[in-house]
Amino acid sequence: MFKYKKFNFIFIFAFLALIPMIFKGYTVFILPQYILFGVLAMSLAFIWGNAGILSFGQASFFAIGGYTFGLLIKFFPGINHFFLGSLIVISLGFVVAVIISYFLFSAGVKATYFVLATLALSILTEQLAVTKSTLTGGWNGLFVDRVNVKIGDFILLELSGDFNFFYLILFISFITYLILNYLENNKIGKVLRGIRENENRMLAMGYKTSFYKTVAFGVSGSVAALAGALYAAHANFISPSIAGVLFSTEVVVWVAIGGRYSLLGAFTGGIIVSFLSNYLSTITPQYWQLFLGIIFIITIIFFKDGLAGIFKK
Amino acid sequence: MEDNTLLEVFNLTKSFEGFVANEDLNLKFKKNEINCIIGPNGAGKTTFISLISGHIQPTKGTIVYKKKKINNLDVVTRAKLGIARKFQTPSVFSNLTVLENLELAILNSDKQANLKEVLDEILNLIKLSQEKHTLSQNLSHGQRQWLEIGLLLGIDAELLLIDEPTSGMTDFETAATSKLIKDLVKNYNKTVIIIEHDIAFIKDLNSNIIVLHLGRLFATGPYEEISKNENVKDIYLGNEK
Amino acid sequence: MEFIGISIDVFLITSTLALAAFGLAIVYGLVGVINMGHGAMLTLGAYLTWYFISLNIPFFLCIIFSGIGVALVGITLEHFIIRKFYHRPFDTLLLTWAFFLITTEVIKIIFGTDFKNIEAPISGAFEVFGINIPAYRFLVCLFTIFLITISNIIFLKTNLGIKIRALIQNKEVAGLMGLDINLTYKAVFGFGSFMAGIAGGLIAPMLSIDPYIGNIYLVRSFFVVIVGGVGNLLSGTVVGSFLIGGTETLFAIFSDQVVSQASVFLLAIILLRLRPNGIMNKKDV
Repeated sequence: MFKYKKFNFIFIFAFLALIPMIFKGYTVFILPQYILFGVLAMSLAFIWGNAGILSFGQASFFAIGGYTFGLLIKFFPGINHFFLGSLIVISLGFVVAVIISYFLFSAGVKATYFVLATLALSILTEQLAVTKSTLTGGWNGLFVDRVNVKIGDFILLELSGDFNFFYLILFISFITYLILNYLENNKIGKVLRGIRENENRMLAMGYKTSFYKTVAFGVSGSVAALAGALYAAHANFISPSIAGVLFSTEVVVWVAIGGRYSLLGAFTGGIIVSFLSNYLSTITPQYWQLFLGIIFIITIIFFKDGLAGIFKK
Repeated sequence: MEDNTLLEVFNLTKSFEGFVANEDLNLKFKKNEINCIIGPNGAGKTTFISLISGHIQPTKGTIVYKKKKINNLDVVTRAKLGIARKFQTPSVFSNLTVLENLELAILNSDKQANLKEVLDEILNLIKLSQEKHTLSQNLSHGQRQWLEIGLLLGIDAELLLIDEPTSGMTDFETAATSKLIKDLVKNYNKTVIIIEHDIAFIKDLNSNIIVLHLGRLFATGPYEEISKNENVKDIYLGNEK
Repeated sequence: MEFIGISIDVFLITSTLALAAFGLAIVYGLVGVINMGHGAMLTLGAYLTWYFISLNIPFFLCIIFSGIGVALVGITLEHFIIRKFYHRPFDTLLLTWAFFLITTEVIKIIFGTDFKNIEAPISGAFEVFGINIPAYRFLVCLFTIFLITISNIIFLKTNLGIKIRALIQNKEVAGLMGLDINLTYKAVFGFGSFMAGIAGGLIAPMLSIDPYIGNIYLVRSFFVVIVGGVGNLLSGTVVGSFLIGGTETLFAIFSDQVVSQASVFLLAIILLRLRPNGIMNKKDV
């Protein structure tokens, strides 16, 4: 059952869709990457806001998606990169997430310990990207050729220019939002929120809570991986810094500020904060990070619902 | 075993690091019956309920439900088999409305398809129809207990383990609760095991009584009999010989 | 000979890890705060030590001053922020993480981002069974053993120790027993921070100092505490350090960084799964 509580999402996606009509050039080139950060943020909000599962490992899945996609292009030039590649990336993200979370949740590991496991995952993924340098290029990163969306040899969508790619990414983000929103408003969302509110009660009502948490984390992992794959395809470059702890924590900051209980809040928060970060980092790197850290603390203490919560009132 | 036995325990014992909470209990519970477990504090009543619901494991003994041994089944599995528990301290979803609370329960039952009807029926039974959009944290203590019983009905449980349902309730609410329990057993095919202290409530239920003392079965029988038992009064007053 | 060499390596690394994890174990075990800023406190300790050394203060005093410095920072953090969130473990996690972000930036602003170096107060090595043991590392190792032994004695044999153990078992009862909860929490947090500062300073001469030096120990320290078992301050920390440090060292010797990190990660996850309450605690709660 679809619930259009508000039509905000239409405004936001329509607004984004209009941008290439007004601004040309660099904006059209760079904005899709921020939009993908927004999708990454949604992947965190989905589990954090609903199930109360905090993850410091979203960057890990983002990197897994990006590197996998890039390596597929590099080593398997003949396959259908967009359709098959996306499928592979989504499945890989799902499987990795499910394996880790199943292992931990089914043993009844506390949510706070789970956070540390995701932290370790980020460290591990970064290490992997750095050390397997013959494959990944190590710290030099991996260059990713730009490919078109094809079916067989027929080019469905030409992606050499920025315009088309912008709308493709916006479209995929829109669909992702709709899917996550649907899940949130239906059984799985309700069950996750029940688990967040009172897991013991859920267990005593016969819900296998570890199953739901695992599936949720799996969805989160696959969304993050897809975002990473599109990022690599668009930026044509991916490096280990996109895998590590620092980037993972940035995602947490975006979602905390944007609003963990709102997919749209997280999406917008991801875009705006990452954009500001990149912009202000070049001007005053340390003071910006300091400022961001302080905003983060203030948000945690006083604005648990983030910007989205402020807008609701 | 006769056919209408729902739950039976044999030599059920639970000890915690030397302290014996339940010792060698042999009890039988028939379907569609109300059973009140009473006894002074520390008698092992909640321990017994926890053993049945699966929250703790017995040290010795067997628990048989619907003719199957369930010792090795966890809380979730037992709940799916129809054993549900209302905790001593009400455990509901504080930040959700009454409706959302019940919905969560019904979504995990075979009756999901008739969500609306089942919801209305339960709301009626637990007298919270007017409060369906109220956040459960804003209910009175008594109403929260009813809501929790509503959750047990939502998952369509057969064996209801109810720990002190009338604590903190007014006389009016207590009487209503007694009516509810009797209704559930008579018309909704439920079997109920209640831990209680409120004498008026127990008297009104007029059910089978199980008296626990220091972890052991002290006495058992219909209310009439137990209420006249001098020894039972003594253990409450500390006069036992 | 190889075996002895490896054993000594493992022993040295384990003791360093135990030293780094000690402050964390205290705070997490006693007041239940997952201090994600622990790494930053280690880093701060290292930088403060470097600073005091540049003032030509004797090494030993530098370490103490660093400890005090970090303790003051920790107590300030506790007083103004952490104090209000003891009942919300997730929030303390995030807040201490924010503390890490802020502290690291402040360190970068004050000290710059280039590598700093501290010379060990004792240089050279000595030979045991033909194996070269760096003298300084050995000294740190001895200090760690001393620390754990003293803590053991205080914990198990003194009045203070009994009060602290009462606090772990049952907050409410401890309060009724006349323990000033707020003050005790502050003291614990302060002491944990003090230990982090000291650890940072002692470890500093072994590595080059950069703003993220403490973070290497952050996740490892957590694994040590979790694997060892929260609340088992001493035996847990020792056993945990040994398992984590040992695994990592062994795999690093025979393979590469990634494999050793991955195996530590896997080990921690497997142990967590088998013993969700830590290896020293029984499975049943």
